Amino acid sequence: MVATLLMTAIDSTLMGVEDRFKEAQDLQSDYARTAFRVDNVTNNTTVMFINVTNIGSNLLKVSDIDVLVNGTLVTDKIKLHSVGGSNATDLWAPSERLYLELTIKVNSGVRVSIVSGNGVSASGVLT
Amino acid sequence: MIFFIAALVVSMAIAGTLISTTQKFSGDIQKKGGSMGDTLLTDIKVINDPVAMPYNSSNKTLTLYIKNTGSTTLPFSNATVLVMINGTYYSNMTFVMPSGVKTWGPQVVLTVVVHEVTLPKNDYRLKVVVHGGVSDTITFRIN
Repeated sequence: MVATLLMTAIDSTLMGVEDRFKEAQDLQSDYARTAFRVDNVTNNTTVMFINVTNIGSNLLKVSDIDVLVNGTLVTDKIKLHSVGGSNATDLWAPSERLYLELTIKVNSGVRVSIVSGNGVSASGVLT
Repeated sequence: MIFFIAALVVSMAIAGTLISTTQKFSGDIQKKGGSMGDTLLTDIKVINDPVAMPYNSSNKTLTLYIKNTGSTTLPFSNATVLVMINGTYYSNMTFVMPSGVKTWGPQVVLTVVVHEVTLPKNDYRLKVVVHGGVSDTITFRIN
């Protein structure tokens, strides 16, 4: 009975840890396959326009994206996004271009960083 | 007869102790396994731009953006989030969550304002440690 109790506990624990280990491996794999490039950053008096291309092999979610302008988090300033011309999707597939519009007033030369949900980032400069 | 009953009582007592100890041991194994699993799924990233850190030299504050890139919800307080810059531990911090968000769940960016920080122009190494000992380290520059 003692052996059965111990074996049951060890077996279920190992299975649980193994499942989580696989999930952690998936997260690491996603991170390694994530890459994107800031193509250009432009603006007018009140709006900033950013084009970013997914150059990795991982499907990303637009809603997980964060934006920093000159080091300050401005994700809440995103007023519009589209992927491949569609603003009805939250998925950003490899080779597709993400377009972001932010309501923010800045001067040329500021640094813009885009961060994906898994923490990969790419930067560009407003021209 | 007396010896038989005594032997029976002693053996039952030993068996009971053994079973309760085993059950406790089993519970501990499962608890430790769960804790290890949680640590595996915990991850954070400091998403600050390393060459444009929001450092205010007037009021000596450094603002950090820490994204939960794992798949567990993390606690945040002065006791569970540790910030070290060049090996020096800073404990005076305030935490700001995005509007409408109450827990530090996956994908949520926690803003940590570190107070009483003096950073002359230089390069620095920042380490943030969260629950379970999970950490992220970046090198940044103060211009």
